[in-house]
Amino acid sequence: MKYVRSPATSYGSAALFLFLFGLSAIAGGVPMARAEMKIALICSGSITDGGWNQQGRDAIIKVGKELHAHVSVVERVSPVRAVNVMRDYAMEHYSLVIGHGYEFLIPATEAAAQGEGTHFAVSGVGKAEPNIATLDFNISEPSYQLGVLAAMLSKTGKLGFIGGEAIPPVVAGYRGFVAGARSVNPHITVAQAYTSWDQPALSKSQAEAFIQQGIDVIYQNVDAADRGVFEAVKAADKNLGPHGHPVYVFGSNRNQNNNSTCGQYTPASVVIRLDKAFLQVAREVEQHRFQPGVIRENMRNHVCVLVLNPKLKGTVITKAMRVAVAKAGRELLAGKILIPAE
Amino acid sequence: MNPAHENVLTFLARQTVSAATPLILAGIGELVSELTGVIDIGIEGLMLTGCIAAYTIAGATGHGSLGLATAILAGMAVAALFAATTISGRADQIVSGTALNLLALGLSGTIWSLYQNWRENHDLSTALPHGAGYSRQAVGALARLPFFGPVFFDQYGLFYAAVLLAALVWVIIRFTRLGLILRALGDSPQTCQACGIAVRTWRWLAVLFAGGCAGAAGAYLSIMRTHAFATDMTGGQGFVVLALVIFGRWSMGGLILGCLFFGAINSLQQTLQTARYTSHYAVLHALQSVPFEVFQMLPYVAALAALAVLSRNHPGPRQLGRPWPEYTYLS
Repeated sequence: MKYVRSPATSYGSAALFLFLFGLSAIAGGVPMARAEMKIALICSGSITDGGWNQQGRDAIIKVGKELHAHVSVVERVSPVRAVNVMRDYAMEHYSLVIGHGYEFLIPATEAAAQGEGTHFAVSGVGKAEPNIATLDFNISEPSYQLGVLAAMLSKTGKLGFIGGEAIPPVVAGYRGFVAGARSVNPHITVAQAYTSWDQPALSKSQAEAFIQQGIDVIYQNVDAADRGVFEAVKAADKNLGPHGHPVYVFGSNRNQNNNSTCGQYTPASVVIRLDKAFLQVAREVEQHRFQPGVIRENMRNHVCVLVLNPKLKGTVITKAMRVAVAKAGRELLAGKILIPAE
Repeated sequence: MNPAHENVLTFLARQTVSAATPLILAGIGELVSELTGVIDIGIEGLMLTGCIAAYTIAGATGHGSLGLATAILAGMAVAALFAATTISGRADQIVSGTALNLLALGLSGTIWSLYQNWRENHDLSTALPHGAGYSRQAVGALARLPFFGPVFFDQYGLFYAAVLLAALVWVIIRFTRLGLILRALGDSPQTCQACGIAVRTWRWLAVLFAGGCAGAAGAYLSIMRTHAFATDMTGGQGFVVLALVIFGRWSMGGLILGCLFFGAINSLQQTLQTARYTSHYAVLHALQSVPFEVFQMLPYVAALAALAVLSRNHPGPRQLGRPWPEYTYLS
């Protein structure tokens, strides 16, 4: 159940507004029947971005179905406007408002100070603030496992990481990846570059620059721009040459192991199970158990996990690799491995 | 061609040409439009329109050529809105162009959402079907030439089209009566009118041409270079085109040089970002302490600096941005 408001239309002239609003209504549907619990998700980008925001929308819709709750999703909200949007939801007696991204931390804190009866949560941040719950996705642990796998897959000893933006959760993934790779080969090179969340052409040319420099395993976290990286890997693997070896790419946030572009060269993905995380918070609100504070989402509660590509087990992913990755996972869970903070 | 098999110079040159192609395509249209006196700052929106039109039609039909044709037509259709408001309606070109960008942003996002829903409801992937996107087209034996082969003769189809179009438009502007009319429209529409030239009709045609070019540039991004669509995927390239037309002093040669310059700096910064980790040279390793934002800024800073230097003493078409006929104020 969803009700999509498209604020992008609000800047234009009245005619454009009406035109787009009409189309948005066709695309997004209309409010569903009255339900007891109401949940809102606020996204900073487009909910059709094929990445973080769309994943959030899909997750919250799933939660809505699970709890028979009314769900509202609003997209393209800047942090500046977010406080007002959150207050509006509070005035409409929403039980839970989730700001989907670290940029909503301050607006949520401000809105929570006045939003009586409404609970606020922010995803992708691990900082405690009064009256709100924050969902801290620790992708550094599965990224560590990914690093182990990457170091064993690489023939050149050169790995690459492409991020959309150097925000804390993405950088945490990079740190884990480097630590994991260096646990296998202390001298391995890991290049990092940041492009954009929504420019596939830019991420493609960056991936091509990686490949030209001899990098043969790429870990990407660029959301909607991921197809560009996949295209670069596909093109490189199509022209391996007589002595060439394949270039591999890893997925992130969603399970991208079966992507249609180069699934046969995608051995693993770091997956954030947003639906599981959102459901947990929504259940707490529903059962009046909501507690402000930081909720650590990680490998232990199976929210941030490494998913190996089952089709590549036994071929690309050897038994030795699976054993090493599983061992790293056990040691991370046991607290024997600590990933450096900086 | 696998980039791992190329030397760095060839790779950089090839990337430069690939990055410059959509800028050249959109730039040709914008140049013609500006020469006639119409500044279309909605070029970013027109490119985005081309991206979504090409991707959805190519995806739905499985034919890249239909996607490309639709992108050109869609670009022209949206440009017609701009022409109707600014040329027929004499509205402010800057304000209308801004509205056009916002319209394209909202419209492309909505169409993308509808397309995704439709594909998912029919258990179809939103990825382009096999054969619907274009790959690089090697030009026979020429593609095997050292350096020049991979750089100029192993590119996407629209690169060759852009080269031909640029040459054609340059000849028209420089050597023909039609070119004289186009230039006169931007400098002295009064003279054109006195000579019996329908100023507004010609400006309409120029804006439609610009829309078609921008639509093709969008198609290049979505069904040639990447086989992907993402909201905001043009990433400000339309605005870069506006700057590059000024950078090129409203000449075809200057425009192409500007596009290649911007593409080169962009390719260089991406390679530098990588080489500072992978290279054996200590001087490049020292760059590891430089924040990546500095590299990302390089193309824009370089373009801005070049713009500041090169655009001096060249104001462009005298009537650029002004409606025709001009408003008269009664005292």
